[in-house]
Amino acid sequence: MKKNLKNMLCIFMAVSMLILAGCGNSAAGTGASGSSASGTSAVSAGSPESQKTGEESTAPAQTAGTENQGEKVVRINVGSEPDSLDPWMSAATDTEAIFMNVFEGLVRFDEAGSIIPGLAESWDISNDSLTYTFHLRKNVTFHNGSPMTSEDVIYTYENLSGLNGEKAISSKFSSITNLEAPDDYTVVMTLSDVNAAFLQFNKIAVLPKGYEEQAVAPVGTGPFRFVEYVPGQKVVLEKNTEYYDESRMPMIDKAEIYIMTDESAVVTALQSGQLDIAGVSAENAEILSGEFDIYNSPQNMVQIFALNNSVKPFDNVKVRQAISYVIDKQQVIDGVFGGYATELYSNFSPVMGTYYNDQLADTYTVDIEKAKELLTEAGYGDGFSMTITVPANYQKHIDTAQIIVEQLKQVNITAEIQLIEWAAWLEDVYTNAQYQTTIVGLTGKLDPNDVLGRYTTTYAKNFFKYANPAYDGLIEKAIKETDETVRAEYYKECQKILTEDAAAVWICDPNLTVASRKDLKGYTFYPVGFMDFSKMYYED
Amino acid sequence: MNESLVTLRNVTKVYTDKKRRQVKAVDGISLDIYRGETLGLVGESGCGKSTTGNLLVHLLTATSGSILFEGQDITHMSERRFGAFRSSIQMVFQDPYASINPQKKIGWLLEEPLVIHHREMGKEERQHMVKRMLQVVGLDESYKDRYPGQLSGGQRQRVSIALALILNPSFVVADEPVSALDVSVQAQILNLMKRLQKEYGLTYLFISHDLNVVSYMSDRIGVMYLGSIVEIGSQEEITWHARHPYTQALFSASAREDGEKRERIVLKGDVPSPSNPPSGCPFHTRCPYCTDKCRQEKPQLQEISKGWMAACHYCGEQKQGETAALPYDGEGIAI
Amino acid sequence: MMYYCRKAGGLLVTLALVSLITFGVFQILPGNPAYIILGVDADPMQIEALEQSMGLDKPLYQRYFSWIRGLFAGDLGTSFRYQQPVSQLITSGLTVTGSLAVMTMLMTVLIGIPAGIWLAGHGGRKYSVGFSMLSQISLSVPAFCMGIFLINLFSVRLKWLPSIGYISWAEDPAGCMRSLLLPSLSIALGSSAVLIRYVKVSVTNQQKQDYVRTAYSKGLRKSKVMYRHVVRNSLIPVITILGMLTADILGGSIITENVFSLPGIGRLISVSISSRDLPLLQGLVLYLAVIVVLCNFAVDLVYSVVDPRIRLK
Repeated sequence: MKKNLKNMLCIFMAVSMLILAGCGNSAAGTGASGSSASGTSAVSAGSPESQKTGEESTAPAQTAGTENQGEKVVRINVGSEPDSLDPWMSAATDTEAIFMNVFEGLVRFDEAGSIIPGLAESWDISNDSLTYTFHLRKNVTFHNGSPMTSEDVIYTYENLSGLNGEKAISSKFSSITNLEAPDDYTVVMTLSDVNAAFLQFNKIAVLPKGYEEQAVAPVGTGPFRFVEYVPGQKVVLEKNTEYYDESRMPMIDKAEIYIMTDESAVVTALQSGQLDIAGVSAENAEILSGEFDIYNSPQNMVQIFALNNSVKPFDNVKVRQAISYVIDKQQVIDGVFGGYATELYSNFSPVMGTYYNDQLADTYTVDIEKAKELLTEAGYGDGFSMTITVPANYQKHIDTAQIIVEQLKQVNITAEIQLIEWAAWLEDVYTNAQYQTTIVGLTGKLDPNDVLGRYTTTYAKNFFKYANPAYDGLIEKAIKETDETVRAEYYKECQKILTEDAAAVWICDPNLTVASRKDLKGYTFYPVGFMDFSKMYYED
Repeated sequence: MNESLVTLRNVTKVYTDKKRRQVKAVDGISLDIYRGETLGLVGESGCGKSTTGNLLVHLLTATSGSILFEGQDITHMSERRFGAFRSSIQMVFQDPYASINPQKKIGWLLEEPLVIHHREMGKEERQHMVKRMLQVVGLDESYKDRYPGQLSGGQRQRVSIALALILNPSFVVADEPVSALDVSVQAQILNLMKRLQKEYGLTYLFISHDLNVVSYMSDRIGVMYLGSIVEIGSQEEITWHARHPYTQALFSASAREDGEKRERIVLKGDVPSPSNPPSGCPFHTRCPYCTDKCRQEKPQLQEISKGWMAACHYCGEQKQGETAALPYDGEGIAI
Repeated sequence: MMYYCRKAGGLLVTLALVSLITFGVFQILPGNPAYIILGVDADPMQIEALEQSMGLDKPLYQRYFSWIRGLFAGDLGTSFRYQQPVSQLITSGLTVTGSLAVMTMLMTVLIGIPAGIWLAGHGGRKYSVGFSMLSQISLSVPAFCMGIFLINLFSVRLKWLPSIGYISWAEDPAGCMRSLLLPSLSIALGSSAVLIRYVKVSVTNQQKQDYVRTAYSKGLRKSKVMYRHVVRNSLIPVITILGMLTADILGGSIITENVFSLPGIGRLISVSISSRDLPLLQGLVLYLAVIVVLCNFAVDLVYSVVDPRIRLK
């Protein structure tokens, strides 16, 4: 018996030794097969990296990402699975954030959200704003080698608009009545209605004609090509060496995007050297700030405390205004986001500078007495009880709700928090407006119409149940207004109306915090989710 | 005169039970077992007879006293040294169902003792021994490939006996070897044991609570009560002419020579707990003849006649005409 | 023969019931899979297109029966969320979870059995108490907590082992073992505590058996007695618990897989529930039921081989 036990023990120890020994040189052996510990000679050889980072403890066996047999790799995380590899089918923000590196449209946008040339190097808009003429670049090739011409653009828009006889893929393009390609590099689109936002719709991907495999092996024109998607694990992109724009040629060779749902796993992955850069929460950023560079920026999101305008007592504007006077947004910003958020006064973030109404800050400064007055006028002098329905998947909203519950007590409003699953929230609150109040974050969009248009009575998902014909009219006008300055004024006016009507309480735009290896530079924030790998590079 | 093969001198075995009390399972017993005989050991459960058997086979260690085997003191011998004696002292156990490993083939089990003690034997030789042994105990040699579960109780007990004898011992302790068997099978096994004793010149210590069986098998019988021997003598003396009140009561339950039933002596009271034995004579609490002396003084074994001893203050040699202090006669019938 | 037929029949009935219940539950649960996948701001046309491709526009019974039909053809349907065949997803998830299960069971057995035997053989008072305390701790600390602790120690501080990700055996055996070492360990610490108890009790029981006394009386030393007689016999009842543990791990430890970012069955389960991916979940539920039955069957089989008492009945 003892001999057997000894044998087993020996085997076990031998096995563990092997494993641990393997760890020591984890780098050396493994090839560039996409494994998470892609090798580096950084540890042993006196390569530049190890010397740079020498002073910290981060000369780990698992540091990779650089000099893997000469390959520069960036490893980053994403919170959810791609919904579809086909850019026309996909709508999830996380997916777009990745695949905007692979696909390009006729236009692109910059860090400020302004529209800049993409596959079209220029365009003309007719006086009546119903005809758009795009002039295409001439030296673009798709990832499968075929050159891009107006044929592909026509193919793209025929599918999108339904002009090819089948069902339209996207309602945004249903207003196209005619498509023409006078030559290989010109495309003319005719619309039925004026829409000032139409231009920015054209950031949608242009795909090669006749290629049917997009859902499995996507092909685009972007600075990165698609390599693989391992469900549940990662998406891998590699540099497109044939990219047409030298100035935007990527400075890294590969990007690996790991699908990780657990925040703490992300933090440990950074610490153990398996991720090079990651989006983290503000508290975790504190922990990481010694070893990593921390970048912060408002993310064009609106954290909203929505009050169902169709339900008592929130159908009374005085009640809503009273609540607006009670909520101390700075408390939430400090308590929940550690100070890393920007206070909001309407359903619009200052990130979109051109359209942002900056005159609204003083509309509802914290004033408990005023609030009580308004409530009494509305007939709720003794307060009332209410429910805050919060989706359980985002802790920050839950924490915010708790602060709000406390604040509301000051005017005798007893609020109870009801947690529900995300899927249930989508159905009950978002689709059917079966709720009293809720807290959620509305992600940023490029066009103000997408942000403010939510409050129109015709918008299917107007779950705030705000109904104001005057507002509707204003939005209508803004869509049709082609003069940018006038358009901006309209949107500013919209924000003012929303605020004065206290359609909801808009709390803040929480910062997006990114922790990055100190030698990885170039991460850029955009008004919408976009991991722009073409701007990232490793400092030597 | 036969030499003593096994001798116990004042052997005591003390346990500490769960409540930290001292329990004397065996309380200073002395006896001799002579070569070639069968000594029966009887008593109620808990009297210490099984413990005695286990002490002899070295499954337990005596707390005090000495055990001699062929003149050598084996009481506190180390296991390594005792190994040499193992072949000579073997045990047959009571429960044929539990005492054999159900997961192993019979042949394997029989080979095992050979493997342990006779390393010089080759496989073929061992197999040969096994087959022979099976034949000796009356089983077909094909049984070596069967599992215990496939055998009846009687057959298993034969295997137990084979297991004990395969090492060619001189002394075998049989601890209730037939108690778990049907009456019809009992006779077969007992006769087998008798035959083997003659054939191999074995010495038996036959432990049992079944008086008829003991009478049938034994040359001499020892009676135990609460860890002590209260009477020891020849089979006839004990069975028919017991002197000690306990023995009398015990054997009053067995049949008479002529097949008639005897008059039962029913003892009052229960056996006292071994952790709290009575003072003086251990039997005094239940003895119908108990006197003050009995309560105070523990009687030693006194010789009644040659080889016949009893531990009682009032059952020494009877002189003619002397009325015994006790109202009983030698026939073991109460008056 | 009849015995196996009946068992198979029972399995089919169980599977049918289970699939029906799963199907039913999803109809009651709120949540539209198309919305969940495409997100809050999706174009209504995209939503419609996706719903159609999922078959959500068809009535209930039709969907259920077309699923059953597909089943007989070996087709488990297409996952809403991943747009891939369910059978493929389950297979790849099974590779991961299976490797994890193998490693975990290996560890559990390597730790649990020797420790249990040793404890039974040397179970003095102080060892028993010490062990009880340790096993209580192992059992009460949840696997994911253990996982996080191990990650902190081995990945962050010592940087010996990776904290996330999975490398397949085919790709790199050493890397595979490394990526699974910590997750296996965090599960194994708990399951080996369970196993140690069972083994200890089983061995202790066997030690009290009469045949052990017989073996001693033949002159067998304690270590030999343990090895040749006791251990072999006491491991037989342990097979049952091993079977249970295996089935449990093969079911995919949802939380451990999340913490370690392992793309296994557990991950698939949590994703399929939160995104209301009915085809995937149906397939997974079926898989789980089959696993449990198979493990039970395997246990029975092993018993009949190892224990002659059962074989000969």
